Amino acid sequence: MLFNSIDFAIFLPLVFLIYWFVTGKNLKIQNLFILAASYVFYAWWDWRFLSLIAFSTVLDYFIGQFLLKTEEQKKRKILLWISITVNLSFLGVFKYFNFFADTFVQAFSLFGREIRVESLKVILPVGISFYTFQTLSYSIDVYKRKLVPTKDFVAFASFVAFFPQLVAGPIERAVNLLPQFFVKRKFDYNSAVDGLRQMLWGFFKKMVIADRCAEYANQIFNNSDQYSGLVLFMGAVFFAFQIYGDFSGYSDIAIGVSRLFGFNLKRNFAFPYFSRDIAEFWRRWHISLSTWFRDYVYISLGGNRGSKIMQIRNILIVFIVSGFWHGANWTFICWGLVNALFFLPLMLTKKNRNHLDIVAAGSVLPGFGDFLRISFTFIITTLAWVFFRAENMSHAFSYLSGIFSPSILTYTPFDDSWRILMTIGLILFFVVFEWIGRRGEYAIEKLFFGYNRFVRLGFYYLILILIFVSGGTQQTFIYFQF
Amino acid sequence: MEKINNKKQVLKFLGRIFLFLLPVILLAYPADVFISKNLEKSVVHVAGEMIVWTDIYDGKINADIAIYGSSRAWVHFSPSILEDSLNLPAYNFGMDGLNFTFQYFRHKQYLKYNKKPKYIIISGDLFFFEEEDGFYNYSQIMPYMLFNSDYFKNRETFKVYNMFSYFIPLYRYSGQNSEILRALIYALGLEREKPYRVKGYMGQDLQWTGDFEKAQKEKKQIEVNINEKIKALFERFIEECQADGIKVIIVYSPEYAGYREFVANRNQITDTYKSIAEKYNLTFLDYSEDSISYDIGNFYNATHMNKRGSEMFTAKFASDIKGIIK
Repeated sequence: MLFNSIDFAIFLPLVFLIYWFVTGKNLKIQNLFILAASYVFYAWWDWRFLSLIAFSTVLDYFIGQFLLKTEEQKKRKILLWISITVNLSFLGVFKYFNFFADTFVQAFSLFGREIRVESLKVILPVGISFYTFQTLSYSIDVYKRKLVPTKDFVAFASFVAFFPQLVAGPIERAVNLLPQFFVKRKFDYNSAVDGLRQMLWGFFKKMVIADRCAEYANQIFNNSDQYSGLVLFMGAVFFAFQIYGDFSGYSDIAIGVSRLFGFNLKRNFAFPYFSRDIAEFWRRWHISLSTWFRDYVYISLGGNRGSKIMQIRNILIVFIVSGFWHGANWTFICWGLVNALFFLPLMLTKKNRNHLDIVAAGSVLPGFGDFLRISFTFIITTLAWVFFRAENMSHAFSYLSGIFSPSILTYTPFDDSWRILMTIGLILFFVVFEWIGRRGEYAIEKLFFGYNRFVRLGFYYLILILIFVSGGTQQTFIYFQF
Repeated sequence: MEKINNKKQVLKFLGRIFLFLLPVILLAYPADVFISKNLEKSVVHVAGEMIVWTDIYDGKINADIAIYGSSRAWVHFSPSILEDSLNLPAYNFGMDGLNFTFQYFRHKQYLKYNKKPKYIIISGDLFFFEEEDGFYNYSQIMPYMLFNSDYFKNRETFKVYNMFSYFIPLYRYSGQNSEILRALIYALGLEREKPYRVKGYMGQDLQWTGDFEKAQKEKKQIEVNINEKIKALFERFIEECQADGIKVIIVYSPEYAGYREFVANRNQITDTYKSIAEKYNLTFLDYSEDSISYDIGNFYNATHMNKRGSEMFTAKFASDIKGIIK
């Protein structure tokens, strides 16, 4: 079920009313209801893949129970590896099998050997990478004794399948989300209103910014040989806003919806396009995934300890695996590698933690230096997105060479110039309010709080009108495919 | 006590949401009417289709000759030439890019709100019986479909809309900024363009575009499917017309001669027209071999004549049917 669908507009109020008015008296029943609602939410897309979530849930639940009872380190390690192997096998089969098969065939053909490997015609289960990482983190944390495994199966299953964040994150850690299923939920009026506000901004990001930018990004990327360098660069910028609006919009809606039910999810985006270097960008972009890789891969590999070579190796592995997590295509691997190459100079010169606080924290506008740094970071990030969006590597390279051609100063006009101007205007509107609200958890968290409440309400109505009038054609969320 | 507080808080929350949404709920219907009423008056929106729909719903159509078909009908048959020649009022209902399923719906609406015609000219084309993938120019029905049972009953035809579009004011306009903008332009009196169609027709003052050559580069030939349901619907339509005393004439207007080989099963389609005409004892006039078809100067693409070609054709056609139309 898509957040931006009429189905969800019916589903959410129904679940909300039953949750608070019917099941509110009993925590166990409330958790069971969340589980049922979450499974309905997922089954709306394809009920057959519920079995995968159910299997992962049962597996990691029992792995947790066995880990609780097992003191012997060797046995504990075996249990952990069972969890890792089974979970990653599902991911491997559904997401990566065809990629490895194709790569294998191509590698052999380089040596003049033709081999045949049957491709699997499988549908990629929505959100498999998200819930797999979520359950994996549970097993790993239990193994590391950071978490006491729960005996409450319903609570655990609800944690794995919690519908607001099931298909596109934020990837929650059991240490944060699971305990919330054991505490009697109290409806907090202010928190719920804040949740609604965050949802409103999330819908704006998705339906106005992302979906409108998608129209142009798709048009330009799909016909890249017909456009000048300047338009190709514009296409990459449209995609940069599309993916940010799409994914951070989803996260905002997920966090907001969770608040309506008395849950607090982790923040997933912190104004990444205002970053002053790529290291800061990666601390602000898809935070739940970056910290997952940091905690479970980077630190396990040794982190920043050891020789320079080892540090470089660790960074390269983390970024490449992170790219590969996004999809079974060399373009994603290359996207990860490019970001690693942007990041490494900062790490080697120990400048990767220069910018920990938000830019211009104490002033209205950034200094000239910060402005240049933000612009530079945005441009290199945007160029890296070309790999992420391109169909294949040759498309990515031809797109980039198109940008860096003499036509970089030539504008190819579009048929509907008023519409593209409107989209650019909306992007500017968006950036201005993101800038104004950059000190908050999300842009409009405290916007117009010092003003008359009608000013604030007026702004919310404006956002509603913009969503209604300017919302692009309904599109699915990009991160569903991951 | 906590439970009561919880419920109170939730009710307070729901009450505030309701208050916040109340202006939206109250204004949704008037806003919908505002957009719809202005949009339906636009003389240029959706290539002039609104003019035809509005004429239908205003009951303004007083035609003895009605022309049905797709874009080929729309740009090929000039009602004013027919009127001058035959001395009978005519109207062109050609629907750009749409097959007979949509044309049939428009036919029913036309008969419901207007005097019935004496003659219906069916302008044949090769895609007449083919099932549509979507609904080309889908926004043409937006102003009329809210709370309209005729549209709701035919919702299978208008698949791009879900059922909420028929019952929730403004819902179908969400994200349709071209439509909202066009309504505003009309409301503010800023629509200065000339009507895109007159009595449903607009001759295209265009030269050969070269689109056909591009299509040939992409594909050597195409095959068009005949959908049996659409064919059956067409036969039902003929039976209804005959029962109603309306005479149906099927016409295959000229197409560029070089195009004939492009559609692999062209003969199968034209034979379908012939066999239906024979079955129901209808006149079938085939102009695909006419001299107009051999002059590229009469066309702007392979299946559409330009103004020069269409006026030449309509004059010829009017003279040919003088004996049939009395």
